[in-house]
Formats: sequence, structure tokens, C-alpha cells
Amino acid sequence: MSLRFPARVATRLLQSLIVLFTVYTVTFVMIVAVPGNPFQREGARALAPDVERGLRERYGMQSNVRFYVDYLRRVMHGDLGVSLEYRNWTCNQIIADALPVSMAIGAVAIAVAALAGVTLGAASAVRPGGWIDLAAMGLAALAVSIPTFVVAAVLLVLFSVTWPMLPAGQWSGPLDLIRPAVALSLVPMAYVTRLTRSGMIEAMSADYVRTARAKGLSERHVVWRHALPNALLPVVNYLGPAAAWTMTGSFVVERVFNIPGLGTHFVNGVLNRDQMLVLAVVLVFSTIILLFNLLVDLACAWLDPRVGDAAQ
Amino acid sequence: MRIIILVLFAILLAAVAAVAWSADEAPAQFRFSGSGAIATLDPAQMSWIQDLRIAGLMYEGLFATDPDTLRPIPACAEQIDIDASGREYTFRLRADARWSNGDPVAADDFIFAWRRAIEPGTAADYAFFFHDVEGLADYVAWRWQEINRIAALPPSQRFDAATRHLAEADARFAQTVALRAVNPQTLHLRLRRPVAYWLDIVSFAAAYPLHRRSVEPHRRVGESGIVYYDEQWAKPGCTHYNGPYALSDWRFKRGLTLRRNSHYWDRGRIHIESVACLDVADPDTAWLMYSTGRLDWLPSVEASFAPVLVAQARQRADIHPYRAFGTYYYNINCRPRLWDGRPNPFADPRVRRAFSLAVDRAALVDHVTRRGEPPATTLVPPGVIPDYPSVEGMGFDPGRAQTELAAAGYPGGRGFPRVRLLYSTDGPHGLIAESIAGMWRRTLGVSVRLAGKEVQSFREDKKNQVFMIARASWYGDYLDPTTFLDTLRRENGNNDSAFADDAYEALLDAAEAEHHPGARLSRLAEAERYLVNEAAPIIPLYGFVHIAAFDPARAEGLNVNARMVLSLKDVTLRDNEGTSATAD
Repeated sequence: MSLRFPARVATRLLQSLIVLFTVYTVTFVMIVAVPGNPFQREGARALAPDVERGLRERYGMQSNVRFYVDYLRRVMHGDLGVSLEYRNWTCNQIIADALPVSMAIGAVAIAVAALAGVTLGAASAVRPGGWIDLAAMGLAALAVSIPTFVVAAVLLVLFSVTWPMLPAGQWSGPLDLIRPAVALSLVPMAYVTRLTRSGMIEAMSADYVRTARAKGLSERHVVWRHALPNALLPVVNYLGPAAAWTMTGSFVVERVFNIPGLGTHFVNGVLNRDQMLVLAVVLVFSTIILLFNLLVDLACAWLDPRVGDAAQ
Repeated sequence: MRIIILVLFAILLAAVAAVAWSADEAPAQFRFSGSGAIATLDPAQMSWIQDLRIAGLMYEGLFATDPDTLRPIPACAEQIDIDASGREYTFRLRADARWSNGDPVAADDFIFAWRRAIEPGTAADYAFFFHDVEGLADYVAWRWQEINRIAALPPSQRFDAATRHLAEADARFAQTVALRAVNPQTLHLRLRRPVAYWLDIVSFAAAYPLHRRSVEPHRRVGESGIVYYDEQWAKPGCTHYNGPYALSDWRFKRGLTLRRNSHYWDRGRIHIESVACLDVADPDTAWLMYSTGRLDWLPSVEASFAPVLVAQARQRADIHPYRAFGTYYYNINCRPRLWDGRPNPFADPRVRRAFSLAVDRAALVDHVTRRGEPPATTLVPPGVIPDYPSVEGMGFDPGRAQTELAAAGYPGGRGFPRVRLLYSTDGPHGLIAESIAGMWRRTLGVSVRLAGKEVQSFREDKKNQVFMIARASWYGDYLDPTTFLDTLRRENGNNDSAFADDAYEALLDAAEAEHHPGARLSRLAEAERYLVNEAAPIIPLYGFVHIAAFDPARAEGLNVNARMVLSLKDVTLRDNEGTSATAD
């Protein structure tokens, strides 16, 4: 790391703030532009106009301009507002409750995907076209093409009904983490396998690997110490956004396994026109994604110092 | 490489710790799951059945709905006097009615809660219930007038003006609204007109009392004088309850736990110590949880295979299909012109009748919805409201349908514009719409455009009458035909048909002026007969059927009813060996 490292992080953080502000503005425009009204709900009695006006005033939503400015001010003070559909809950409470759940599942899923994907990818690249390669690529194709909701439903029925080892719809211990994490890990695992494989094949024919072999190093040493770290660069680049994606929750997986994560709140927030909750969740998602991208950049610079120098 | 593996391992450990930290609470004795998450525990703000059901366990109004007869029965009030005019009510509260902290329930707690339910800022869906209390509607109108005045002042003057106004509002409410505590145990009120179903209204969640001492500190005042409450007051540990149960735990979209209220006056009839209501978003998962013993009661099975369960109900003791107090129907746009300025052919009642007569409701419930729903020809579900004479509406009559359409100038459907049939794409509405569109095409020779929309966009189109025909449904709030019939009054906010008919208004007004209960119901039946047979602004399709799932041998005494009221009084839980598993 060069001395200019803190300056680079500071620049990235400043850029992130601009991105967040843009995301807030665009989301705000979209959420107020779509048809619908958070106070008038389908299936419930129509609110009298003065009753709706009272509620709008109570939540500072008399006009869109005022809502935009007030909400931005609140966010700057760390207050993400109140859910308009679930009014006894502040968005801070909802996110504090749901984010650790989604992050736990996502983290395990991405860890499983990374471990399994890199192992499979590396193993298949050692002998391209061999039976390990064919099996790994077949598995990857299968994992990426079966929809997550099918995998989730099959896992639920298999382990709750056919072999009743885990209760359905429960969130009470580490065991309840396994099925949703597995369901969520399949797609990133498939990508990691393919990225590792192609990276490894390229690395294995590179000059430095030939040099390592010429020096008489063992094949294992060549693969693990010389080829793999370089082959992993695209994987690390992919893992950042993938981790952000899995850790911000999956609507399908959370719904099937009845997990109180953030993914369901986001989708339901949009469906209910729960404007403050949508803004809050989008801001949290964006922050996580920006953070992971920053981490990936730093990790890449660490894995290959030339990346960092090029960025200078 | 070793560092990467260490990082991954640390992630796994952190994840496991997060799960352990966020795990659900220990299970309760009786566990159920309503359809959908609990939206609020503020009784004044409730709209959805799952919220109302929980509120009914935590709070108790002056009266309560009897789960067997569905009539209002004394609850927190033990005595009532109604004067001869039917407008003056005096409720005497039970001496042993207590909040869960032991405080006596006072008449003032009711006045506090009712006033809170109508104040600008806290008023919600059911605020209009209280507008029949003499002086109350005028008070609300005056409040708005003052709020508008204060809002127009320069910002620096608003706070002082709002403070002065609210002091005046307290005095005005006490002087002009005919609602007062004669003494701590006596509540007196006068209505501006006799309301035959007033005891039903005081049984409803919006009329539950609130523990004033714990709720009032959460009161806030907006800059123009609106009053609102910090919503955290409804969280566990913040207030007290006067119903059979008290809230002990509530986690967002996970569920809540209730514990028996040891101060409840009728506690001898409550045998279940703890109740958990779990939020389960996916109906199939809810069913799986029920069938694997994780839930004791599902008030409404919404799983995709529900029709199969109805077929199995005769063989299975735990499947209980029941008719609800609700109707599925189609609204017809009655405005003279359509949203795009074209003349509206449905402004002619003959056309509306033709479309209603062309629907084969029996085929619809037998082949499409398949839950054993009763085909409906009326808006008010028949057989639920005691003493309400049954009304016969228009059934399937293709010949008459064609004649009516021809008489309106469209023989064989010729010249009839393409019908825009609006529905929301959630639930079974699409299938129903396709089926009915087919019936109209076959019987009337008209062409139909199916306009399926996401639910909020659907609502916008419906409210702006951007449709010719739109799907609709209505559940009654109280046991009186007006809970359905009033929705089609000219000024009613739920009149999505934009139906404005002087004859119908006159019939309802005549019923309202009638003091004799039997004669009043007959007049209302007359209004409904006119509505569904003559004016036909709606096409009733079927009455709702819900499927409850519970083992009657496990939850002894639990019942299902059309109003979907849950009462756990006299319900005992038995374990698999048949011995009582509940506390007495």
C-alpha cells in the first residue's frame, strides 16, 4: 500500500456520498411518481380527505418538496423515518432487526459459494476436459439454471416433511441458517466456479507458472501459491457485488423459509407504497453495495499491487 | 490463501452469532398465524382483520361480539340504559374491570380513546363511526378550520397559536360533544340520530378504551395544531390492557406473544396461559407449519391447494370451511361519461342488468374459485344478520340478458364498445375475470378487454373510474345491512361505481327515519332489492368462504364464525393424550 492510500479511500468515500445522494433523489422521484397512495390502501375503507390530510401532516408529507427536504434532513441525523404501513415501527428498528438476519444468511451463502466455487473451479482447471471438469461445469450449469424458489421449496419439503429433521418456518438457531444459505449460494457458486476455472486455465499457461515449474516446485505449490492468487482477481471482483446482493436479502428465500430478513421488507415496501421504508432500505442497500465495492478495490490492490498503481 | 480461509471462517462464526442473537422467542401454548403481518397495535388505526383479532384479545370495549350469535353482548359495561328516543345511552362499567396493571377502567379512558380516534392527525379509517355522537362532527370541522387558520400564520407565531387553540379545543370538546363521564364508572352519550347498530359500533376496535395514564405522555402536537402520538406507545411494556391478554413481546414481521391478564374481570374463563400470533408471509409455508404441528390454528388457509382441502373437509375433522360476512362482486361505472370522454353505455341500467344476468355464478364457484362459495345475487350476505329479510337478486338468465341489452340499443352486442374489465393481478382475480369475460362474450356477444394491474395501480384506476367494470369485495364491519348498503350512497368514499341514484338514497333515508327495528330492516331490504334488481350498479358474484384449520380435539371450544371474531373464552387446549394442557 502506498502512502496515498488514505487519500484514495477519502476520495472514494466522497464519491460514495455523491452516489448516495443521487440514489436518494432518483428513488424519491420514482416512489412519488408511481401510481398509489400510502394512506389509501386497497381492501381497506377509503379515508375521508381530511383524515388523509391529517395523517400526511403528521408524517410531514403535505407536499413532495417538503417530504424530500425533511426526509433528507432526518437521514443526515441518522433517522430513517417511520414505516407508513407498519406505523408502530421506525425504519431504524425494522432495519436493525432484519439486516443482521439477511447479512447472516448472505454471509454464509457467499462463504459457501466462495469455498466451493474456488475449489471446484481450481480442480477443474488442472485438467480441462477431464471428468472433474465436466462434473464441475455440469453442476455449475445446473445451479445457475434452477430458479432459487424451486431449490428453496424442495429443500423445505425435503427436510421438513420427507425427512422431518428441521422445522418449517422457524428462525431460532444456527441450524435454521443452513437451508436458506444453501439455496442462496448456488448461483454465486456457479459463477465463482466458472470464473476460477477460466482464470486458472489462463494462469496455468502463463510464463511465471512455467518458471515456477522449471524451478522444480511441486504441482500443488505451483497451483496454490502461484497460479491461484492471480486467477482469483476476477473472482474477488465478482464477490464484492455478489456479497452485497446476497447479504441484502432475498425476497424468495425469505418468504419460503419464513425468515424475517430485509429482502421481504423491500419488496413489500414497494408494493405497499411505504415510501419512507423504501427510501430507507434503498439507502441502506446502496451503502452496503458501495462499501463492498470499496472493499473489493482494496482487496484487488492487495492481491495485485499493479491494480492500485494503475488507479493512481 | 490462509488469510482468505480465516476471513471466511470468521464470517461463518459472525453469522451464527447473529442468528443466535435474532432468534425467535420461546413458543407459546397456543400458536396461530393470521393472513399477513400485524400492521399496527393502535386500535384507532386498525383496518385489517389480523390486527382487529389481536386487539380483541388485548382490549375490551363496552360491548363485545358474541362469537356464537354475533350479537353484541355486555363486556366492559355491565349495565346499559337506552332512552325511548334511541339516542341517549348510559353505560355503567363493571366495578371489577381492571387494566393489566390493576388500575380500574374508567369512563374517562373511553372518552380519551374515542377523542383520540377522531382528532386530526390520529383519525383513521373508522373515525367516521363516532360522527354520530352529537356535536362531534361539528367539533372536528371546527378543529380543521382552526388548523387551516394556524397553518396560514407566519411560522414564528404558529406554536403559540396552536397551544392556545388546543386549550380551547379541550374546553370545546367538553362543552359541545355529548360524551361525558358522569362518574368514573358511568359513561353517558347522546347520538344525533338513533343508530340501530350502535352497540355493534361500541364493540369495534376503534371504540376500545386506552389506558390514559400510559398513553397520554406519548402525545405530540404538530406545528399547526394537529395532535399525534409517538407510535412507540403501542410497544410491549409501554401501556396496559383491559382484555383477557396483555402484550408481552412483539417483533416486526415475526409475530407477537400475549400472556394471560391476571387482572381481567372474566379471567376464570381464560384457560390458555400464552398465545403467539406468528407472521408467516407465504401461505404454503403457513400450511406446512400447521401440518407439522408448529401452528395450532390457521384462521384462513390461503394456500394454492385450498379447494382440495374443502373437498377433504368431510373426511378431516380439522378442516373447517365457513362463510364469511363478505361478498365478492363487480362494480359497474355509472358515470354518464367514461374517463376518456366517450359516452358510457353502462349509464343505462338495462345494460348493467344485462351484464349481471349474463353471469353464471354457479359455474364460477364450481369451476374457478372451487371453495364451495355460495353464488351471490345480493350485496348483503344472506342469513348472517338476524331478522334481515332475505332478498332475491338476479340470477343467470341468458335470454333476459340478451333482451335487456337489445332494449338498450345493442342487439346481439352489436355496436357495443369494447368493455374494459379492471382487476388486480394478485390472488384469483385474473382467473375470475377471464371466466366472466368469456360468459359475456358468449351470452351478450360483446368484446372484453382484460385490464389486469398491480394492486396499487388498480386502486388508482378504480378510484378515478378508469374502468367500465372493476372487481370489488366488501366485508361488513357491523351486523347491520347499512355496512354494505351505505357504500353505494352518493357521497360515500367507497362508492367506486360513482352510483348516484335519488330513489336509492330516498329508500335508505326512509329506513334511517324508521324507529321500529323490524320495519327498518324491511325498508333496508327494499333498498337492496331495488339496488340489485333495478339499478344494478354492481354485479354480486359470490359470498366469501374461508377455511380454518384446527384440531377440535386439541383446541376444545374454539369456533369459527362469519365475522371472524376470535374468542379464547372457555377454550381449553388438550395434548395428544387428551389431558388438559392449559392453566386454570
